[in-house]
Amino acid sequence: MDVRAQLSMVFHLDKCIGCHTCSLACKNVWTSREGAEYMWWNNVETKPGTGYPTLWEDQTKYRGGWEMKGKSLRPRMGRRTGMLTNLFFNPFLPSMDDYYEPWTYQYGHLFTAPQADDQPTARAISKVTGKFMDVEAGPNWDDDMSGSSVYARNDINLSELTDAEREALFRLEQMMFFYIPRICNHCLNPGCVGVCPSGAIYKRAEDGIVLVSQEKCRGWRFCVSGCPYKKTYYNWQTGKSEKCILCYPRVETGQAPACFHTCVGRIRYMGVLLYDAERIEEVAKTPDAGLVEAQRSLILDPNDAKVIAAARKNGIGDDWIASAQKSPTYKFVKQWGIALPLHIEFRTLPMLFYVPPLLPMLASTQNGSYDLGNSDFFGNVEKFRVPMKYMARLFSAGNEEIIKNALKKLLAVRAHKQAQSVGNLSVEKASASLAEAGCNADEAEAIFRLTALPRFEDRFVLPPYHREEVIGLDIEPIKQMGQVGLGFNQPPRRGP
Amino acid sequence: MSSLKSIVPSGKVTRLRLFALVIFCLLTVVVSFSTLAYAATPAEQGQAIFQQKCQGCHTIGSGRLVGPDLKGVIATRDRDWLVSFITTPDKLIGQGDPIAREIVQQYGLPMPNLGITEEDAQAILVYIEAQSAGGKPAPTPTQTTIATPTTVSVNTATGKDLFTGKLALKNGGPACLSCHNVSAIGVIGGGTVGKDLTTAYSNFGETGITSILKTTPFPMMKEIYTAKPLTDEEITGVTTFLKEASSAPSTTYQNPGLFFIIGGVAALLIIGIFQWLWRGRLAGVRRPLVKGGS
Repeated sequence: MDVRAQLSMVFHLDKCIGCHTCSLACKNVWTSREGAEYMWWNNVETKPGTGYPTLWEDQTKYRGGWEMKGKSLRPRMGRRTGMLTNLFFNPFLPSMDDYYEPWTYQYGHLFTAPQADDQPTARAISKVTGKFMDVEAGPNWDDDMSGSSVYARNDINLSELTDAEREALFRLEQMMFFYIPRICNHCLNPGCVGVCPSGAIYKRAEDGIVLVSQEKCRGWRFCVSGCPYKKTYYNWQTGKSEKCILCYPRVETGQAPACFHTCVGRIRYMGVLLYDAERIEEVAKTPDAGLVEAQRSLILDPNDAKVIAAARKNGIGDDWIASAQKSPTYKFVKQWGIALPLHIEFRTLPMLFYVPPLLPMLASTQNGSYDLGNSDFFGNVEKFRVPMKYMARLFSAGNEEIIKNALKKLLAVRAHKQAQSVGNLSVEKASASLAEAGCNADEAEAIFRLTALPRFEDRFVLPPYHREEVIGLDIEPIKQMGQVGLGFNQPPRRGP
Repeated sequence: MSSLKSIVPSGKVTRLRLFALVIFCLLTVVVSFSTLAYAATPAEQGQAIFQQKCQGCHTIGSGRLVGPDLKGVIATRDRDWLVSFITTPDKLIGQGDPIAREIVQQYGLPMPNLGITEEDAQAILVYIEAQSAGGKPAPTPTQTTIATPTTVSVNTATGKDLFTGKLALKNGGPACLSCHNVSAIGVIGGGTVGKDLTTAYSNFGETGITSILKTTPFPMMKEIYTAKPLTDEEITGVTTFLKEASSAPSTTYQNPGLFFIIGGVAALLIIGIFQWLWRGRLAGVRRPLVKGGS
């Protein structure tokens, strides 16, 4: 057993209102620089939709992540020789159009326009060419299903659905959508690290944050296509690639990352997970249907004496183990099993988990009245507007059982609380619901508390980094103050 | 007194330094005087420079080589003009000096700037004056330095190989082909940096060519071949080849456009191969989606 610690995340999609505050917080803190205009280390996508960049989930196009070739796990980008021949021209990169052409508006014209019959307007100006442009795409162009005839319909997760099911999805009464906020997953088996020709990307030992060394990066851009989540971005100004850093300067000083901290719906949870690094390869090779379970088995119980002993042997401090014992992510992912990884079939073993949304049940207009067709307010999983096949493609590599179990448990928690506080459901019915979901009243209560009434320190259980002590050892604190932050003490140079 | 004291160096160390300085100054003066004393007369100096830099193309009283015979040139030309032409011929020619232009037209080749200083030019003129005035004619290059071409048997084929670089030059100099073209070497031809040498032999004659190859008087050739000179056999070989080349009817005259046509076709071919090799590359995802959608 090779116990390591990972700062992991849970996003509760039922609570996400799609306000993009997280994206803006991140943009303001990290990517409001030249060369980083198009980077959204955090973005919020509407599902069904094609996301950002367009169709990022379609690995037949971008070749991200890993695939099983016989008995070995290989990057979908190809073998070393193949990658070497593509070194000077990576053929699987998203183009600017697949992201978007960054633009601003000609605001000055509003003040300087000559008197005329019509009101002056501020036309869009490309930040690339400086010329007027027609805005055709943006980082959230398909937000709230806009352009659904093009974007939502081409969501590749709908591929399992029959034509009739697909048509039904876009009928007004059945139309559904939900949001998926995405940041770097800080995977256990990162695709970007696997394909980097310069060895510039690394997974930090103490907390598993995946970082791009701006000193070593040579801008080959293999990480851009190698990451199946398209969460590494190439900075055209510095000639280097960049990605979400999980706000490590904030985390190290005991603050939640900017996107976590600003989240309006308080959907985000952060905590330490202990995992067995020895079994990563074995788990990543598991057949699709068993991937979610296999990844769960990788996560170790921080209260197990054996695990604690092994963790100590690996140099994980007692305060980190204590932090892992209180971790909200451990509860969501392992204890309750209601938080699931996004697209685990890419086999990067992402450490960002999503509590799937409960989309209300199917209703139809019959005899002039809106018929819910079920006396239970939330109905049951089979009657959800969203097809389980679709949710399974997103969160459980096609295994419908897993996603159904998670949703049943979420439903049971609501039934339990309804019976308790509203009284429109009988206690027996609620208990039956709990039993069916393999849950009990205590667990339901705990899920309810952490979902609906969590305090700040319940959502973010950050391990103590003791950076103040580390810094004090070799750098003067005043000097350190002037040196922290993103950017370069020595500006990076292009070329070798 | 006190002010004086501060100026006049005192103390053992200072005095030693002063002594050393004086000795150094004295030595410098002595050495420079001695060099002066041993320096040659202007005429001798002029001879040395003439042999080094002018002899490749000029004689004094032995007839025309590449450039004119310089016997009596002092009498026919203004001395100041001569000095400026010797030091900066390129400048005079460039300015369109009538005499300079006439000479260029007559000899078909501008005299290169050999980096001769005004002082050296004066010395050369003194030497030419002395030689023209009835001294024995200066030895021509053919008489002194160049081996008679006929004595060494090098055939044209070898000469051609030397020209094209098939046979490496012994001292490591680059092949003539790098900069020059001759119609006899084929369709693609040689470089275009230097002159086309197809008619070089008929222009300069055997002696001219030989002396040019020996002394390489042109600025670029000087740079290239001073450290890596051609051997006598190589000179003979190349000269023989140029003789052949100039006498042969120029049936395969180089077509300058052909080079570009071949280059263009090759480039297209390479691009085509790359297009095929990388045919599976991603050419945009969003646009086809939007175009294909309703």
